[in-house]
Amino acid sequence: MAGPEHVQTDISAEYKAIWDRGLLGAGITIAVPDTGAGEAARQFAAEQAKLGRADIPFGQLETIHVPGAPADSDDGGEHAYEVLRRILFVAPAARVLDLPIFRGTPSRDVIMRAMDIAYEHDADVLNMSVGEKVPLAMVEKHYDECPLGRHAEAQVTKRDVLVVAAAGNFRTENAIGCPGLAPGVISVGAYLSPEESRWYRKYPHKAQEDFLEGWSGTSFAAAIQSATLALFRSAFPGIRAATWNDIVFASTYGALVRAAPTPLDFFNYLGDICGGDWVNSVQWRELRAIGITRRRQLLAASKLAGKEIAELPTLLELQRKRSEQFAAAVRDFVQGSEQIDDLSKEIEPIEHFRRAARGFAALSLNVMAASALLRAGAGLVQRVRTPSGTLNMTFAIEGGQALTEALDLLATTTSPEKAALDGAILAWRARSLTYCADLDRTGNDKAFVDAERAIKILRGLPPSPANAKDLAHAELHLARAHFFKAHASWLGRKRAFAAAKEHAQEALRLSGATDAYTKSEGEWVVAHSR
Amino acid sequence: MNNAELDVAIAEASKHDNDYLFYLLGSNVVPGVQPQSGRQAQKAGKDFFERFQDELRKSVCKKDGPYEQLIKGLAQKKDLPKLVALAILSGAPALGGVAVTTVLAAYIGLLIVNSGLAAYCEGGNKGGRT
Repeated sequence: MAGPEHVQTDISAEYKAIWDRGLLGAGITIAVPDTGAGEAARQFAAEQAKLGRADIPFGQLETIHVPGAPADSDDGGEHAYEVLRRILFVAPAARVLDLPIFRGTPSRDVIMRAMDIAYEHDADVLNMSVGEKVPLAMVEKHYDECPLGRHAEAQVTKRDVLVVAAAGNFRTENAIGCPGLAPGVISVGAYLSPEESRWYRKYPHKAQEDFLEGWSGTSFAAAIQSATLALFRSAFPGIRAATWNDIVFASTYGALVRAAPTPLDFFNYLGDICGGDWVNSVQWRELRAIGITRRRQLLAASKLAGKEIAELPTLLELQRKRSEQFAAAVRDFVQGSEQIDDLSKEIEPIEHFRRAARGFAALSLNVMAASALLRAGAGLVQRVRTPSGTLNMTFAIEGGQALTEALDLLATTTSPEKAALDGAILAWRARSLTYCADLDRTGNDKAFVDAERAIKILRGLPPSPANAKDLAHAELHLARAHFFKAHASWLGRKRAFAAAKEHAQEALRLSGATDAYTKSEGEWVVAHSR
Repeated sequence: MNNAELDVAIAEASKHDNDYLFYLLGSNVVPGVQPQSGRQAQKAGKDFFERFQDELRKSVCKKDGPYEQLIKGLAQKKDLPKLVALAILSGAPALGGVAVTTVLAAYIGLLIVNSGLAAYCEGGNKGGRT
């Protein structure tokens, strides 16, 4: 009988592409309330050497005493050691907080205190490879009485700490772990590739043996998932913990498999959607594992909602439809992105973006919907000058409308991505308005307002290549607004030209001459502002 | 206690070896929040089984208990898991604050029978451990 090693995937190969992009978890703090690795943590250096990855700088590992919890662990720290080892393997440069809380069964107060300490020490991700078994039939009552789940949820919603919890090893017991059952917490279930799964179904006895002999179980799946999400948080620092939860939820249950032509996961698309620069593949199976668990959570949620188990097929069907809707929206977004630069395709890519926006909005993913509308609006505005060279003002007007819709969608969100998106959208709307200025004098006045608002917002954000590009764009359209104002009236013309020149030069400086449109338009404004 | 329920529990538990029975026992007897690993739960099950050896032995190896029935030829080998489980349910309905359910009794009964009932009871009489 072939051993399971024949089917196990080498996870280092799966992560290599991510590490090669320089994503090692640097700047991210992962807190691990557990048995406490203690002295065993010193072995990490040896582990690192074994992996032959001495080139990767290990992040800090700090042990922090939790008041009320014993300083020593009851198992020599083996459990925490195995959890931390996996976290540091996936996100080697992350700062990891080792919070010992176990000797026997810790009180819930101690566990909640550990969560607070994690927050006080700037945790971005909280790994809870621990849980309390809750039969699904008791979920409603338990959640009402379970401060642990609510406290975990508050970390996500109020403190922006992403909580990843073990779903618990209760497959055969129709139960789920707390805090894993809490809404807002990413609950991680099985950690098996399809090959492994098939193999173990064939040899169920071996499955039990491996489960007990190795350090396996949802504790360790959670550890790998925490570290994976830490890599993503370092890649997309603007996305809040609660948004990650939505993204993970919306993307699971097979949606991505249908969305992607290859096992390229949706984080590829996320890079586009969120304006990030990083594009790469991730642990496909891990996402699926979350999907399985979220399905379990749906079972639990159905009890919370007071629904009968008989209604579950309907709920699962709803979730499947939701996933398909997400998949379709992502597919549209990708197709729109692929076609957007081909100006001979006038409306097709715009329609893709509009459909994507409708799909995301229906799933209450307003930031993604606004991103899609931004792409639609920007695409339309870009098409104002058609290949024939004539101005097509319909595009400018429709583009402005799409951008206004995007701003309206963002008005209902509080996500941190909002400011950057607002800035980018206003900059594009300013451009559409400067085109409209030829038709309607008030268009130019509005362009001033939008461009100045965009500049104010974007200057208030931490510097990044994406923000600099949007800022250059906003400066350029403020320059264009001044330029049109100078042409519209003799009154103050000299001052308006001077302002146009000044803002165009600023746009050129900010864009670093890498953006062809800003370069040519900026230089044109500078040359003609006299 | 429902006899049929015990039969089902024993039939289910019989599919597993001792290591997995310890895991199942551990995941059922530890209250509150625990690390979610198989090994950790297995260790908890072994600890529980060891800790309550004396109480279990008293129930199983007592006069007229399953062991005596076995050596007097009053019980068949195939019935032993059920007899041991019944003896535990009546003699040790709670162990260290944990209520012994039908399922727990089935796990413990099988663990005792699998390790050899004679060795278990005789070993206990000699003051040894299983």
